[in-house]
Amino acid sequence: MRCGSALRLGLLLALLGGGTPGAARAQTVTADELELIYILHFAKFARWPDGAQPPVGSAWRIGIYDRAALGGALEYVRGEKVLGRRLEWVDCRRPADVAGCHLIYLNTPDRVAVAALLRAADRRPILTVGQAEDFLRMGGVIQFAPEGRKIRFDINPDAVDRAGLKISAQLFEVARRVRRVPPWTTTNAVEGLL
Amino acid sequence: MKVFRNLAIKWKLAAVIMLIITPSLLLATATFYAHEFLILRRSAARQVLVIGRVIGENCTAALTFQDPAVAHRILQAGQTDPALQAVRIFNRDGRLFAAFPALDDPIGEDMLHPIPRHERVEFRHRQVVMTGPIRLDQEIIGAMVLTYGLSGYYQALAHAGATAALILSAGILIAAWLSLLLQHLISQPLVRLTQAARRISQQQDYGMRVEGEGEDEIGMLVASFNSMLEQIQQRDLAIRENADLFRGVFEQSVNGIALSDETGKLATLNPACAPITGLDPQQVIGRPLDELLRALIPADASPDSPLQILRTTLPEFFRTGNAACLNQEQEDVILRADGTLHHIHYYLFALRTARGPKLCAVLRDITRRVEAEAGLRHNLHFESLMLSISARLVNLAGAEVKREIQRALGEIATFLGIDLIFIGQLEPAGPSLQVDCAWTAPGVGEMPRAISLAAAAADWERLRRGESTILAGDQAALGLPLPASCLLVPLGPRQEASHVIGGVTRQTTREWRADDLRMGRIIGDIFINALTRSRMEIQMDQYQEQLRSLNAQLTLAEERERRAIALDLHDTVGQFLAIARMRLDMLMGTPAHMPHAADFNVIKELLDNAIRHTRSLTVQISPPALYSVGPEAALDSLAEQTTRLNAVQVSFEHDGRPKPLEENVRVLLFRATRELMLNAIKHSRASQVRITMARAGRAVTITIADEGIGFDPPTHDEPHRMQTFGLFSLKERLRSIGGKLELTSRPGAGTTAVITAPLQDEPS
Repeated sequence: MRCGSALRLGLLLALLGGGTPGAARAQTVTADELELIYILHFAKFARWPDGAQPPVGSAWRIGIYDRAALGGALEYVRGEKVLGRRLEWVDCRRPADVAGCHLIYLNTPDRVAVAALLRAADRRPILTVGQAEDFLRMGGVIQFAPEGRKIRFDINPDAVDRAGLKISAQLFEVARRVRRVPPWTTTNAVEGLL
Repeated sequence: MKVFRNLAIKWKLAAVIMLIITPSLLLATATFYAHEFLILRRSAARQVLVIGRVIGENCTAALTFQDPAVAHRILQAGQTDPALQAVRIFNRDGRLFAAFPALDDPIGEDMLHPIPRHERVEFRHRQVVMTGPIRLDQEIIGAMVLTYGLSGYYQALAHAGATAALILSAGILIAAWLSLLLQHLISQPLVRLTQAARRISQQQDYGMRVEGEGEDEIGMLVASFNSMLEQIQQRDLAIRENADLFRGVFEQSVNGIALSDETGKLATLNPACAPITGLDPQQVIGRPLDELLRALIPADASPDSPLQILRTTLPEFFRTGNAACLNQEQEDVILRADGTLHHIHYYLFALRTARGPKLCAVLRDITRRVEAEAGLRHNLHFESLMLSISARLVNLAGAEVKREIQRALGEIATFLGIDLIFIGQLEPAGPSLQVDCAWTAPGVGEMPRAISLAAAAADWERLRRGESTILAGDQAALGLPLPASCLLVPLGPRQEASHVIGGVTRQTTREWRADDLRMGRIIGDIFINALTRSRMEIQMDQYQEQLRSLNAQLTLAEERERRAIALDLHDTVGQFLAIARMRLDMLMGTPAHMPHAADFNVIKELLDNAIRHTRSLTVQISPPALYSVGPEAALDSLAEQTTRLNAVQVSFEHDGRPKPLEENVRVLLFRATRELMLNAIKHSRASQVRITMARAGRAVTITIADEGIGFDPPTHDEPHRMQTFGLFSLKERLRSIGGKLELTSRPGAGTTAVITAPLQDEPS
């Protein structure tokens, strides 16, 4: 993931050009920062079921698998709000960490860990975003899919439905692919993992 | 406006309705059109906003994730709306992000700066442009400029205008149709009212009524009109009645009524006016009053005559409505067209009308009245003249009567305006007249003493039968001294006329009237009566003279008889009684009478009484002193005896002068004095009667005066008449001897009777 950061940065400079809260600093945006920005945009185009949203004034929790890997990118989005609520960035490395999160970003290619966490988040109103291979097959909602110089993403409506979320059609419009992928069974998961 | 004013009311109503409705419809249509314009404009603006917002919303993800392809795909959907001319999406930096049509179309700029923070819609020529930000979660992530064509909008507006025009036209047509249909509700009663008013005006039939409808203002107007007609009908009836009454009075009046108009021309005159004035209504109506008056006023009329004054005041009257000759009864003479003069009585008054004063004259012909009055005055004058003549003739006798008649004939001829008048006798033997009296005017000549009617024997016969005759122009036949017209009026008993009175005038054409005949008869009767009376008085005087002579002789014969009786009483009865008394005295002187002395005394007393009564009776029948001594002694004895036998003191005095009287006068004076004295004793209740006898020139007067109760002048009542019969006889007897009796008496002041008798002529 780190290897493509420079390229991503060029693309961002070309395509986003200050389209984020940190637009004034776009020339210094890294690929991680751009993905975090995408994640925040995903949250803006999604809608959680009633009762799943924290009350106004409470923090909107985003679980990060590997916060350390993001480095200073989190600083880039510090102070940002989602749906009028402040953000709370937490670690999400174990299945138990899934609870209380509204969105988890599994920034790891570790398919086993990702699968475990996705199982923990299954059927929960949690928007799951990842970059691991077969992320959608493992039950993830949105999977980053770099395409040339662009950052694209795929969406799994089946996972959206299972999570009880509503995703804006516009997000579907800008998605590279929208694939309804049924979740792996245990056997399939093992086979897939294998 | 003049055209509108002359329009029929139904067209006026329709026009008014259309004038009211058409602007309303125009306003409504304009409002509708403006509303449609605004609505469409707002709708267009809203539609542009909606389209813009939809596009913006749909492009947020493309902008967020910097995917122009997605934006292009979204914008391509705009092809479905032909009015959408162009859409340009700008990113937050103002750079063109996506566009419709394609970016290579030369539409607009590729930069938008600054990014608008609010939506704005701007109408331009046949298009509307919407500019606005594209937001995501309250954050402006881009902007868009949308150009929308208004051809559809204008088309809708044109449709709305066409619809409005159609509605307007339909509304106007419907309004016109309804106004024409509904104006009948208002105009029809008014039209009927107008038609009724026109018929009433043309036919003057106020009995018409307009059928009423409803209780609205028009119904009330119709009811009021009918009520007004009712009042007008009542007033018209009253006016017609008054007009009929006036016409009846006007046409049936026996008085002439003439009425002018306010300009001084004759307006009308009633049927009675024509025979009075001789004016032909067909010719005089409409002519000026001044002209008519000038024709009616005689040429010799005085300038002060009422009609002349009226003529001069006409201009003032028609200018001011007042004139001095109004409201006064006037009389004047008019000259009728036939040349005759008529007296009229007229009354003028003013009728003041709204157009000016009118002069009304009420007149009647008083010619007959005036003539009758003149005749009456003539008759009164005649009667007065006759009375005067009669009065003068009454006290005349003999030849004086004839002279007076001749003088009176002159007065009568002057009064009657004739030249000759005469009274004559019809000769019983033949056709001629003997003129008794005549009067001729100066220059006429002498009246012949006789007029031969030989040439008019028939007239003479008629005169004899009592028929009046008019002879004209035949002077030779009449023997009159002038060519004349002569009226001969027979006088005396009918069928046996003895006299004729004739009136002659030199006016041979004079028309003798019945009045002349009547006057002639009156004059003739008066003169014939006077002549007859004159003759009869002469005869009466002769008869009275004879009567007085007979009376004197009768008185003397009576007195002689009285005296013979008195002498016989004195010489026989008196003597016998005296002798018987003497014989009784002698017998009573003898003793033989003693046993019968009482009887002798009675016989003696009886004899004394008989002697006294015989003497008294002798004196009463014919006092001896009257013959032997004179009337003074007889009257003195009468006074003494009367005093002795009555309770009244009677005194007698005389002047002692000689009073030679004839025997009959002497006797009459004694008898008259005795009768007057006894009357005083019986009726005067006086206690004293004084008799005086005196000589007065060639007459002697005996006055018998008392101081009794007196009496009223004679002939006042029946008792006095009875009393004065004796006085009348006494007066006549005294008058027969040339004497008279004068009585003076007043109630309470006594009575004085004075006898005057002529003395006997004494030898010179």
